[in-house]
Amino acid sequence: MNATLLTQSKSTQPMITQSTLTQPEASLSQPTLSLRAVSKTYGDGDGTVTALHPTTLDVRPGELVAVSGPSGSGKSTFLALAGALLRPTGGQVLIAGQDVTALPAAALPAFRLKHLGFVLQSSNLIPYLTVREQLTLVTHLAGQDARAGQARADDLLGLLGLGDRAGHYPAALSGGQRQRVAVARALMNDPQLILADEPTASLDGPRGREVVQMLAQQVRERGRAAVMVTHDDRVLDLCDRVVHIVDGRVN
Amino acid sequence: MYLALRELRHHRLRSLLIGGIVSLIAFMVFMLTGLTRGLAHDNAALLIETPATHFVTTRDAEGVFTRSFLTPDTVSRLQAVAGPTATPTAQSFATFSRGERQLSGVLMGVPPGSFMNPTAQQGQPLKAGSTGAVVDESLQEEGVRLGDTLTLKPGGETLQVIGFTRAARLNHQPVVFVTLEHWQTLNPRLQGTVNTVALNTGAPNTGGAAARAAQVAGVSVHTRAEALQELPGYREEQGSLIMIQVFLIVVAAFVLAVFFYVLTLQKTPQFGLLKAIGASTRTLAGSLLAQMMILSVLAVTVAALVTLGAAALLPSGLPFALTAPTVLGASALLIAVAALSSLLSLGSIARVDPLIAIGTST
Repeated sequence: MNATLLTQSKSTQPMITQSTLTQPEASLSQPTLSLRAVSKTYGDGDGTVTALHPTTLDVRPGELVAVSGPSGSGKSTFLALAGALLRPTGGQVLIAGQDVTALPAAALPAFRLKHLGFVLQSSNLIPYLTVREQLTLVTHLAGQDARAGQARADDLLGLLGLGDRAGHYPAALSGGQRQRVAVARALMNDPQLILADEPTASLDGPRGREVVQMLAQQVRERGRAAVMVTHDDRVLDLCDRVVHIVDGRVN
Repeated sequence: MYLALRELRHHRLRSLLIGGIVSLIAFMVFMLTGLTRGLAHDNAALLIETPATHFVTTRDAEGVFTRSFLTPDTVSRLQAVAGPTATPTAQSFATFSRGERQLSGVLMGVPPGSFMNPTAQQGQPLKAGSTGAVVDESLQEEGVRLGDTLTLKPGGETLQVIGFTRAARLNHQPVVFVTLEHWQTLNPRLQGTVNTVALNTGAPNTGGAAARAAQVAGVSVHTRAEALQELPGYREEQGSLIMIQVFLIVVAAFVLAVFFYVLTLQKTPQFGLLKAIGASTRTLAGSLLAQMMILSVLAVTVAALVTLGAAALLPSGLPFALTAPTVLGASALLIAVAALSSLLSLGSIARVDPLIAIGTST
């Protein structure tokens, strides 16, 4: 996985120009994701490396925020912090009103299962589960009613145009279909916040655009918040806001 | 179980291969267990199934019956301290013929009224004054029948077979029981000595008999199990077979542990993804343990069925004894070993950081 990521980073060296795509966000509702002076440093003393300088950012319901920046800029650290996968060195991360930095480590998987949806890079499906099972896995992990999960999975697959692929294994799907399955899976638990890590990494232009369009549509229709890390500037126009990170600083 | 079953089903060939290896190992363990027990019975069924709990020999014989000669005087002293049920028993190797056929066995003299007197499965047991013999049923395979006459060599004395008894083998040979009195007339050179005195401390009013018998000068008391181990060749024979079984079980543990460990390492990115979307370490560990259990239970069950089938096909002369409790015990051991061997993989699952699901390394 890391090898893929490396080659990707090299081939599409991001030279993103300052974007001012930010749309006026009129929503006055509570932010779904709220980063308050969140920072991350590694090591101590002279060897300290700052992956993310103190950052404050709010993402409100119905908003899709893109995080872009060159390789090694701290995008992934940003996403890991927002996704309760990494503890910040300083600051607070609030997701759906809950300060996740205050939760014990053992409570985090259950929190992610309930409140977060992840769309990861190309290899993010389980090879031995059919498309429908990729989705019902979420229901199963949450210990919810299997029948309701089946129905919901079929609804989502229909909605994302994958109805006829429900019984296929990931190996039989195209890259675009796989990423759409990943979007559907991220929606399975009806999360408040969706986090996407380079969802277009292995896709060509039109396919990548299709996946992001789908994500944006779901976010708006369902009033969910989403953060998408990407180097793909062809999809930035689909996002409500673009945050640039360079050398661990957000501007 | 959700993940465990689906993964095993999806990777059918892989599951079959590892299940097959475990099955073959389990099959070998079962067959060797049967052989070990079969040989033990063939060698010394008499000492395995005897009601005696202790055997007294002379001290210098250290529990080896054939080196021990207890005088009538010592026997009476033993009976005085250990009670009248202390049973003198004498044995000698004998070669005899039945018609044209040459046979050999252990000629054993027992007092007819004692607990050492074998019960007859067929025919009559020994009674006071009997001059016939009760012989092990394995002699039936040599063509010996009730009423046949065995001619002892080289003296030409004859014994009539009056009964058959079971589980009477010693030193891999059938036992031919005669009364102690008759044995002594057949073996005049031994001048009334016997090889051992058997004690049954399980019988009423015999508590402490073994300890009291040990006080008698010049003798040593051995438990039944000790006497079994002292039997020439017994320990060596059993030891080598048991060593092979232990090796097989250790190999099974290693094969399973390494196989699942390599798979786990290979699947690290997948575990990272599952943890990121909210699977707990417990769920993932449970899944691995479930796979291990499903595979090993199925593999061991198949092996047990194959073993039972194979045992039915074995030639009757082959010493092989396998009972359901033995198979169940060996199966439980193998499955426990499989569960234990998953620990290595469980550790590495616990250490997987969900962070690896995100490209933080770049």
